[in-house]
Amino acid sequence: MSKRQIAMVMDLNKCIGCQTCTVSCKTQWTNRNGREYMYWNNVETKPGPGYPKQWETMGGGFDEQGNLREGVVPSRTSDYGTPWDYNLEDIKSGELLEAQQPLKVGPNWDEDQGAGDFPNSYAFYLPRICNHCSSPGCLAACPRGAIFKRDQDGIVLIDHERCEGLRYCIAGCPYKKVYFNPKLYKSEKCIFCFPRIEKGLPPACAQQCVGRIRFVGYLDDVEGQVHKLVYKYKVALPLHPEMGTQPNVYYVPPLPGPPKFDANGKPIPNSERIPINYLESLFGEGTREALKVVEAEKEKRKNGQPSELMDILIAYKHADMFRISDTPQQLLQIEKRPKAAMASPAPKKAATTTTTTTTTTPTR
Amino acid sequence: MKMHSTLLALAIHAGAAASPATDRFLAADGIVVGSAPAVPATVDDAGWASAMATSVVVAPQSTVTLNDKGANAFRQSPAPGNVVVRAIASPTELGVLLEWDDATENRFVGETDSYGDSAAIEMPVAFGAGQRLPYIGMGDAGSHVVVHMVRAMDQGKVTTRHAVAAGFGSLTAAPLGWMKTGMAWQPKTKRWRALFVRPLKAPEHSVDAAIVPIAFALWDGARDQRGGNKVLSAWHVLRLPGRAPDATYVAELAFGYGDGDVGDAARGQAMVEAICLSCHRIGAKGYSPPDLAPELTNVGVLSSYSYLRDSVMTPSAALVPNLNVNRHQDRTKPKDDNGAHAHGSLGAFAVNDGSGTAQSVMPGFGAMPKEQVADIVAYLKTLGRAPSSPPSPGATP
Amino acid sequence: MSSRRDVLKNLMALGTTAVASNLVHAQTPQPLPTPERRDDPRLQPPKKTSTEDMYRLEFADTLGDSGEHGFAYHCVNCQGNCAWQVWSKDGKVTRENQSASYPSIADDIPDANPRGCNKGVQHSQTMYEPDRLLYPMRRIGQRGEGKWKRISWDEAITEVSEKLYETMRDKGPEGNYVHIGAGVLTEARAASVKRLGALLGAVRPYIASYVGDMFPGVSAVYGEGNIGCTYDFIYKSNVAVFWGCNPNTSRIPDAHYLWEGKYNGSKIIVITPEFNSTAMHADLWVPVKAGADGHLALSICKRIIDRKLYDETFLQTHTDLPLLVREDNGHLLRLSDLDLTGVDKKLVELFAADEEKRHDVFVAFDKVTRKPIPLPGCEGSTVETLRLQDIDWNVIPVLDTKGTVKLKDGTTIKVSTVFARFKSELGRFTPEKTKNITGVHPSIVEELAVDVAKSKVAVLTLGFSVGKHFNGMLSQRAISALAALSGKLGERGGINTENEWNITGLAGLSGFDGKYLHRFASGMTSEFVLGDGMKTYDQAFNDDDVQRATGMSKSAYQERIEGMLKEGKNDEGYLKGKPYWDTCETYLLFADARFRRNKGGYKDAFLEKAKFIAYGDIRISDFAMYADVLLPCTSHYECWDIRTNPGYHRFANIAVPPQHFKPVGETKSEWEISALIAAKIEALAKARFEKTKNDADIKIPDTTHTTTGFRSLDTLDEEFTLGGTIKTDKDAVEYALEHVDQFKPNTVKTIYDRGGFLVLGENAGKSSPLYKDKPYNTFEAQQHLSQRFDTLSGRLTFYVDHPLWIEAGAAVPTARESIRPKRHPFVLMTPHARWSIHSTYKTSTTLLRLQRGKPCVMINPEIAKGLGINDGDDVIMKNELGEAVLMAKIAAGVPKDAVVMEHGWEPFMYKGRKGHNALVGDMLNMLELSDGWGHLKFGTNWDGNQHAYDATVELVKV
Repeated sequence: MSKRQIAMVMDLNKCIGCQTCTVSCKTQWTNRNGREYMYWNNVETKPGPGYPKQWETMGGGFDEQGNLREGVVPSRTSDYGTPWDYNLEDIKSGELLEAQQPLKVGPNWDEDQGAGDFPNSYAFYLPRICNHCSSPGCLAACPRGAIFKRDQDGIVLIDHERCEGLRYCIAGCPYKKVYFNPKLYKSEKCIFCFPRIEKGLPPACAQQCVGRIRFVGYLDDVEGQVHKLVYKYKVALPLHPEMGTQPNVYYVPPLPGPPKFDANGKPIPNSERIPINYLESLFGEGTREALKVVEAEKEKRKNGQPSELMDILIAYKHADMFRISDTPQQLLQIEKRPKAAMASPAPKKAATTTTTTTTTTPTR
Repeated sequence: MKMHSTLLALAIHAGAAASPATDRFLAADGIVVGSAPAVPATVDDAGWASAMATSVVVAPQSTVTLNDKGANAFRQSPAPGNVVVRAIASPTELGVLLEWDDATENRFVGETDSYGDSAAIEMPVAFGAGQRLPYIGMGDAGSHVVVHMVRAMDQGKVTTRHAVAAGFGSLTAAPLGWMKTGMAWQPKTKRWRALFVRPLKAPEHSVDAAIVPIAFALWDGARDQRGGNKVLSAWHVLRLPGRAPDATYVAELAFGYGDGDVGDAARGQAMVEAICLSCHRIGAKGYSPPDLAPELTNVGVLSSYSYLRDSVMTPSAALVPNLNVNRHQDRTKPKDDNGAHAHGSLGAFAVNDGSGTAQSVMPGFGAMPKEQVADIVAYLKTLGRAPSSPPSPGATP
Repeated sequence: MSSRRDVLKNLMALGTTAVASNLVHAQTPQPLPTPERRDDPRLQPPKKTSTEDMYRLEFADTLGDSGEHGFAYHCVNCQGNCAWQVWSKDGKVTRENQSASYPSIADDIPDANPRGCNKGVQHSQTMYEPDRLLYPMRRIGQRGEGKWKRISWDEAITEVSEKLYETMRDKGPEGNYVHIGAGVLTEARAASVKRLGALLGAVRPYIASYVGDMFPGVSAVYGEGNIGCTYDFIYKSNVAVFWGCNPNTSRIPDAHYLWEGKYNGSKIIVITPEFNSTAMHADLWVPVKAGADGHLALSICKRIIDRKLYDETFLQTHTDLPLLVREDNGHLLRLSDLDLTGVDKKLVELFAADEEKRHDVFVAFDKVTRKPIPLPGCEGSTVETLRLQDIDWNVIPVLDTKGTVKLKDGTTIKVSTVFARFKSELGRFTPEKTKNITGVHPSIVEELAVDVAKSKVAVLTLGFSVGKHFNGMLSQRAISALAALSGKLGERGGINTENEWNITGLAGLSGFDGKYLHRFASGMTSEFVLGDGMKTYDQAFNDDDVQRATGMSKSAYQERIEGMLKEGKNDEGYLKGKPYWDTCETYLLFADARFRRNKGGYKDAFLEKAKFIAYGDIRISDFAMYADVLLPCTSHYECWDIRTNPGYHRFANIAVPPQHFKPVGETKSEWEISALIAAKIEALAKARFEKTKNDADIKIPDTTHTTTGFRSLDTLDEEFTLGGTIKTDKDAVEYALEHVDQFKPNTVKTIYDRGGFLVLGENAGKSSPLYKDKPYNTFEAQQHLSQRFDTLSGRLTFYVDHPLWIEAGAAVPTARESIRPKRHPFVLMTPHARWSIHSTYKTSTTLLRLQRGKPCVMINPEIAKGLGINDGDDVIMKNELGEAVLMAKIAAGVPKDAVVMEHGWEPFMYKGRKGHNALVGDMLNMLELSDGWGHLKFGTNWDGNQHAYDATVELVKV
């Protein structure tokens, strides 16, 4: 039970599915050291099996009585997808480009597939990171007590000195956001970019999100957008609240989309292109009310009335979307002045007690 | 810690007297350690033929249930029933060779759902007269264990882990590099062999004694076994050659083998079902939610008589360590500011009484008539899967 | 426990042989570690863990070395143009991060941060991938075979220079083709190759036209094709239509303005055949049938006129709709046609004083006098304004009327206004009639008419795919007509294609002030001829197809096009029709992976004509495979550059490599390479001249593209480098900062300190000011100041009386059906990709892992089921031109009569090296080929497109 809890709100009405977040995270953390197959941040097209494939059916989290549910540990080969390589060096020699591993499943395999009968098709994008839950399923599942929440921000981390690579955390996480690193023989997961947070920078996925969908701040910061979206307007909802882990990533659910068409091609007013029931199955009971609030405030804005909610969701200044320290603007400058950023002492060397070697230098 | 610290002392105490109880105990739980000028250095060394093979029953850990659906599904079907143990002591070293059946050679191949076959031995940090045995599941707060583990890795490699532990979740890496290990697959017989060789005396830990408690654990990668999903033995004792056992200690260990130590299992069963099953479960039997108290399905195979007796009478002295108390939320309590549920009492076998000492949540039955306790112990000791086949001595190396 | 000393003593007393081995262990007894147990990890977080340190160190590692941050814009092959920070460690790029420091222009408008995309964010990965070209190489096997020999830069430059020089001598300058493709779309670097080409008089085709990214239909109406707004303007709109485009996928850095705009009250409308990633969140999605955009636009126009939703004053002032058209020949009535006795003399004096120019003064009926009057603002008018009322005049042209006028020769003819003609044409396009073609229900047409015409600010953003159909130019024109009809201009919105900034002072970088010109060719024509497009046309289309699309027979249409092609051919024809040269045999190309387009039999035809190919790029491509000499180039993290256009935003971004950057292989920038070639040709020419003393060896005659009549090869180095001042990419950037008004006041340092960009000055706006605190849209000068448009009539042009257009029945905006064959069930739609910029980054392992890993085609679920195709199956896509094998991806948003695939896949990614574009045939559109009328004269505003959406295919499960 951390003293403070940092949280993220993602506005699904603004998500364009570009995956800049995914790639930002990849180059920041997971393109090396046994993490290659992992996507700490992924974006999936809903409805769809997601990543890892069918994660929503893989158990974990807590049942209605509050007891940890059994879960499964996904397979890299058939659920995550083995990160395939190419014979890039052979193209110059006249070879055709070929993937060196079978192309059967991948982290974005179901992109844009969606559901519905054309022209009444529907889809939307759902970016996912570790939810840094208040009652983490992974933490509860770990028989080693290796998983903890940081006091200062509630970020959930895996202590590699304690982790034995047992993978019960993976089964215990209902979002399947803990990954096993076969090279380290340890579990790893999204760390909410805490080394960036410590330097006043938002997580890479959030800062680099070009759709400007991600707000980062502390839940108890009553002036912050995160607090207002979650508590004041109640338009930001956790994903699968029924899993019982109290996620700290919140989503503004997507509005139902353009009208559907009748058999003659005539638009049907107020038709739910994205079925509300489906949205409720993802974001819980508050979905209907949240969408009503967004619609109502949007209408107010359209009629020229002020709307704090619309102001927040529009986000006039990118830097203002992140309230991770008292003076975020000033701290953001750190990155622009590299010397200042490096002035604070960085640890000389990673201390690891693993039986396998850890290298921290990017290998690509 | 009681130590037979010099070779000189060993010679003096050789040839102590025995009783029927201790004989029965040593026959049941003793492993005779052979003597040789040097411990054979590899699993395939012909020198192991000189050691007596002892078949030790192993049963699935069922006290607590872990949350891997796949692994739990495998638990429903029979698991390996025994491990053949050979041990040889040289003047300076002790070697223990384990050998067990396994239908498949499973190595960790770098996949997320790949688990290597593994084996481990555990020994108490301290043992001897007056020192109770640690809880079989990696010790407890009052009695620590050292654990050595080998795991089959990709491309014929083996990983070794050395650790100390004081109960579930407490495994702590220890730099016990003096332990030499080996692990090899025998394709013809479909058996694994694992070897542990250590100095009799090491700066941190010595086993230079006539009676050395030891327990064994095996993991089958094909059944997704790792961590607490394993099969294990009860405490056994290595009987090192040329040393006289401490009679007091042996007598303590031999409780349960003496006449009158235990009572009538049938009467015990009735009592267990009337009393214990309100909290404990034995497979499908029981009235409580799972995890409220240790599951008893294999308690007879995994526990000694004395442990069972102590558990009934003075549970706080024979604690089963908590697994992870966060596995159960108490939804009757309000959430904290960040929406976190308080963890519930379900799953906490022990609670801190405020003085820093853990107290079992189970009420002690110290006031229960001794005969009834003996009946209960008798019944509990029958719980567990009998070996599916007669102990197999295994092929001679 | 006994002490160490005791043990030793006892052992020594025993004198055992085990002493030695025991000694090893007989050290001071040490305590075992205490087992650590966390009873409740939620309550007891560790104070400090080595794991945290591990991640902190990793972050420090990717952040790179202190002071080693460079900047780069992204991306060279994209219109996004985003400022990035580039981090490096030990001279190697570790990671990139958007600069994200663009200033906010106003408190109530979202800022432009953090521009960037999924592709830009991983350039640090691909720049070190093994398909990078690292060293100059010479082909030693057959073309395409993949046998290379590494050579030195000097060898490479010498070989290329010799070929260029030899060709200039033997064939003249028109024997060379020197071009930098869409892979480098920048102000500084791209200028180098243009500069070299101009200096040598080589042929260069117009890129936008040959890749099919032109807006000729917009030019027809507005006089220019690249018009519109910065994307923050869309945020402020009331209605934002995205027609034939998918900004969520292909306009990633700007797409946020749509959804912020939606929150701000804007209605977002998407008009596309497929339900795409933008349609998902739209307020209205209109599933128009592929290629029926023109029909839909005209139906909306029909509704607007029927419901009188237009602003009559606007149409009278700003459009040619009141102009009179002769019924006898369909031409516009020109003042020079008229018997002036019946015309207000004062107005003639005022508006058409110059008798010579009265042919280009147009006539309307005055509402008060009911007599013909000349109008101000026409190309031939003496008064340039469009104002209808002024101190000296007050005219009100009648919009919708017919009448008679008396001509000079005394005859009286019937005339009608353009409006009346347009209205009559629209009779064919009632929403009820077009529904069969467009698939769009009349109620939607109605909704669109009201939305576009009645809203205060409506922006119609036009995607490239509309123009990628054979009759796409007509569709573009119809949509432009809709915008014009609804009076949307300047602050009120209107058509948005790609705004272009007015950047003055850069001409000196790429050209020579008219002294030397390159041979600028029509892109579509040049490529069509180069790739023997006529042969593919013959295979791809039958008589029905051509009849349907053109009203002519297949052979008649072919003859017609062949006749037109003769016009603009080579030096003799370049001023007559759409110019192209079939004289080229030596090719020096950069950043142009052209075989990924490879329509029909293009590749074979090209390779047959190209005697020598030198190719510079950062990576191998299917085209590079066929080069004779490969020149490895620096990528945008490794060189200096500056980029402004297109004007989706108001910033110019700069590229500055990290300070201690270690070059990748032996790469060089295009500037260095071009400068080396210029110097080498000079040296070769001088050396030869030394021997031959033949003037023709050093002064290459060129009467058409120089002011001097020849090209002096003995001053190439001097002229290329401006007397030694511009030798490198860095010099070019500094030159730009010094010479471009819109960049001032800035230096490399001010730009670097700010975050890698500069804000363009107010004078960067072409037809509106670029206000410091307001989003930009074109044509405020026309809207507010009544300045004339750059068109023949000075007005938004509905009527084109080019004889060919009259003949084709296209004098007023109209629409035609598609040429695509109906023999095959599925239209092949290949819109811009999310995961690549055309073929750039198509081979990125990082990005391919986020796709299906190989070319795939999206199929409607019901269709797939009917064909027995499962998701992930390999399917053969085929038609008369060939077949390609792709992975099937079942997607609910695909129409049942089409298949959709991201474009840009290179042939080497397909079985048999045969890409999807090989299934695409095309034909030049006669109207796009027409030339020489008013504002429709060949140039960057008036060329046409190669079309990519004219194929239909069948699918067969492998």
